[in-house]
Amino acid sequence: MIGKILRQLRYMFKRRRSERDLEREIQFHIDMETQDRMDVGMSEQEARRTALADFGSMPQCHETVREAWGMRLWTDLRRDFQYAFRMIRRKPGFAVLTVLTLAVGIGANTAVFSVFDRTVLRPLPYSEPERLVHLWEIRTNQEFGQMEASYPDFVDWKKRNHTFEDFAGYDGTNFTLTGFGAPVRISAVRVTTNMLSILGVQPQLGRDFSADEEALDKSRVAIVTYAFWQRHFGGRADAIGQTLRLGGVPHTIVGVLPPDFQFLLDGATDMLVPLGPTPDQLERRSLHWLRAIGRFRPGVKAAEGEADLRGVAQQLEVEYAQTNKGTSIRLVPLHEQIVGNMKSMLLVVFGAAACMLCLAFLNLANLVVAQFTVREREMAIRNALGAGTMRLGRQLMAECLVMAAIGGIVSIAVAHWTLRIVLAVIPRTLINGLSAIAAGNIDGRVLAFNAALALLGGLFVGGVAILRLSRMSLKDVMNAGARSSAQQRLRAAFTVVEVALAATLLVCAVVMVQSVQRLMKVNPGFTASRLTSMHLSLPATQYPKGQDVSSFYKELQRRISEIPGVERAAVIDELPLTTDGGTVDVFVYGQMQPRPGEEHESVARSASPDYFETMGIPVVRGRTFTASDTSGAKRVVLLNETLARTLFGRTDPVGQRVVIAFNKSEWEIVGVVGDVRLADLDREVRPTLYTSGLQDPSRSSTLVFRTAADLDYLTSAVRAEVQRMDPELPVYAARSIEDTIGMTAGVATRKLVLYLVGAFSSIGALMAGIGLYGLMSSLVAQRSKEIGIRMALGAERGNVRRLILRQAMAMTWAGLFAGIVIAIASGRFIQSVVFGVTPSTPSVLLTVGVIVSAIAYVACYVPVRRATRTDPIVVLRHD
Amino acid sequence: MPDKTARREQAALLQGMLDLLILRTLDVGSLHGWGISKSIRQMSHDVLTVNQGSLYPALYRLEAAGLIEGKWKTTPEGRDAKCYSLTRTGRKHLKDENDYWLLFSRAVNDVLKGT
Repeated sequence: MIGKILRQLRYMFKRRRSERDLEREIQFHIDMETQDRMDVGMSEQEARRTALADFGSMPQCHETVREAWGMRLWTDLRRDFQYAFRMIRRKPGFAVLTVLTLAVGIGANTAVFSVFDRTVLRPLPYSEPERLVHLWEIRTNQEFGQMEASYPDFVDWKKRNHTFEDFAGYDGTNFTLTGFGAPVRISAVRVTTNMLSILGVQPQLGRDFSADEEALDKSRVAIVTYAFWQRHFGGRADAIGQTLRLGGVPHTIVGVLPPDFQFLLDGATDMLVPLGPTPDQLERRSLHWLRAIGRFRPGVKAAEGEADLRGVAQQLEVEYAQTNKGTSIRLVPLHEQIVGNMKSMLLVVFGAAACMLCLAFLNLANLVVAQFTVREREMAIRNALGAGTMRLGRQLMAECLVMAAIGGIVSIAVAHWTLRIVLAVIPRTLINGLSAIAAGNIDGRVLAFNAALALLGGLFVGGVAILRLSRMSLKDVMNAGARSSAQQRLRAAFTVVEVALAATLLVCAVVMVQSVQRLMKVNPGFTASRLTSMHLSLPATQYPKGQDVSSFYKELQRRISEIPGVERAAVIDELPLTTDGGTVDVFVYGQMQPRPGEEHESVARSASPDYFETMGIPVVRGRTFTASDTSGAKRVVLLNETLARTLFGRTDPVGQRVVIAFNKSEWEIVGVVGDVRLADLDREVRPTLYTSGLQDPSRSSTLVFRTAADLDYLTSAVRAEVQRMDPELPVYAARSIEDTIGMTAGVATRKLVLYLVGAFSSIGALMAGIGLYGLMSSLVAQRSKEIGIRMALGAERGNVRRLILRQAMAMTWAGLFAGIVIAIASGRFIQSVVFGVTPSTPSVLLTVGVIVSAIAYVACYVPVRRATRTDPIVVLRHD
Repeated sequence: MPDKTARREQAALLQGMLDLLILRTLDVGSLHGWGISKSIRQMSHDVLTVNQGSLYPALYRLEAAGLIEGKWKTTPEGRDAKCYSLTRTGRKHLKDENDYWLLFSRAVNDVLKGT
């Protein structure tokens, strides 16, 4: 039978050869016929003429033959599909269930794939992206190894390497844009002027930066993104040459980026401006601030490039021992740098989605086999009436493929809405990588993936049906007992695997729930309730001196503390749980300055008086800052417990002095405060020192409030106060501390994974439940006679119930056990997103065990009830 | 003897029969198209003439159905010809069809005799 199809296919593909064969064959026929007629005395001419005439119409013969070999397959196929549609119309309930199952399974996978494809699978949208690397300086002897480059180092790499075409540097920044209605914050990136040419991108409109614009005094130009251009200029070409006031400084727009350009896949960037390093940034080798991207020369391998730059770093270690001792270089492929941390998260989500898809397929196979019981008689009769097994199989396959195709089409809508819902549920600011999720759209590749899944689903389910069919004979159909047991075994196997997959998914979901719970229980080092923060930044043009900045904030703090409803208010340069960047090297006054490479690195923060009281950060020793710790007074500093322990061990540091290495400034320690998590709840506490905001002010600051007041009320009250002091200043990023915690990468990533895995596992559990319910229902129906006899012989209801339940629970627990084993085995896979738990944590296993058993119990409840309600008389009379 | 047109009609009527005749002819041994047509004519004592225009489509249909199999061979005269032979399915099919035909023709005979 397969040979037949192959033969037909061969005709189709080798049509031209077949045509030639036919031609030759007919020619032979005519020749022989002519010969025959010549043998009985005709002239050759006459013989050939009559032979041709008798043969009849040659083209018609060709045509009929062609029909015989080619069209047969198509007409058969067409009939199969017509029949499939008719069958589907005849049982719409089953068809709807099938299509929905497939649509949900395939749709979710398509959605996840679209994001995965955009970020992880596809190369970066730059020219020859495999030659691009991100560069970090590393301290070979410290745990906080990775850091930005200093500008002088960057310049030396550029000069001394032999393997790179060029380097570009960048540094993210924010500006206040004025002149377009209310002042707004925009996100910009300061770049070296060769950035676009390194990436291999051309502005869509206008020009690239010129090399001389990199200097601070020439850097008043900007290349804006396509989105910014559309938003603020409606896509008008005359935007080029217009002036933007950024932080009070006029910048001229010289170019517009292409619509699909995202700076390192960060969709939030509004514009690029030239780097314009300050003299400090330009000259200090100990100031690490520049992020660097390099482009290898063609043919250079990553290892060669890394070795080359390491060599340069070694030269610098010798030449600039003071700053560069113990400093080396690490290369990270640019693609990995950008999507690396997303990759593990996406893999987990993808894995969960794939698990759910398998469940969907199995559930469907289960349904098909169940459906088969109903159709078996029909099939057997049709078989007996002469429809070949192959033909029936083909019809079944056609049915499954039609449903899979419909499911596939519906799933595109599901995928579309999944992406939309994910974006709507989770605020855009939640994680950096989210712009990549927004990038996940449904294009040709994703559609191909979708179609492949649908086809796979159709083939799998059709295959299962055909497997059943080939085992079937009329004799079996009549022998109900033999038939059912084989069928039940197959369905039981499907169901156990379904339960196993659902259990695996549930383990992941429960692990994620507990991870997030545990993470949220981590003490951040301050009291989070009723804390609110908002951001503010003073432009250097209006507030050139530190004195201006500190007096502005001092006055502002006084004003906002008096807002009704505010218990306390304070100012800090960087809010906890946002970043642990901004470090200095310190050592104890009176001790030798540590040798290069052995410094104590500490995060430095600038806090106003009342900051620790407002945040609820405990004071361990000494005092905190007061209004008298101003620029005229003695320079004072607070240490966190970790830094105090590092520098002084068990001795009391209060009254001692520390030196900040880069400018040799001395600071007296007036107190020790509790440890605070600066970057993320899942990161370790770093040594931290605090300077007084009145002595060492920061232009960019966060206002913090302890208040029960409503956020909107507070924001407008604060805005009013700020406007009274400086009408051009925007107040932005107003949010509660709870929101800030929710936005940390540690929490946000896990929550995103939790939502998605949670959704997939719920659907998966539902499908497993349906599978179990269906199986138990037919088991009970099949055993009704036996149950009837048992009950007629005096079996208790409870006994009967236990009998059925035992069978269901045996399958459930087999599946549960297998699922847990799979989950534990794949523990490494989800390691990157869990926190404080593993799949083998007892509380996780217990929770999953209870959930799965509960689902199984619910799924079996109706069938079991039906069994015990069996009236023996009715059952035994039946048949 | 019926005239040519009538014979054509007859041939069309008995389309399904042509398959059976071809299979029967090949039961003896493998033959090329021309040989089949000649053999049918001889075996039916010139009563049945196969219309060439329907012979080749029938051959290809039977081949596509896997009942016969065509191979290019060289004839004793040194010419290349496509020779057909029965496959195993073809042989089985021939037997079934043969039985059916006997049944059918006997039935028709009975009916005709009955009138």
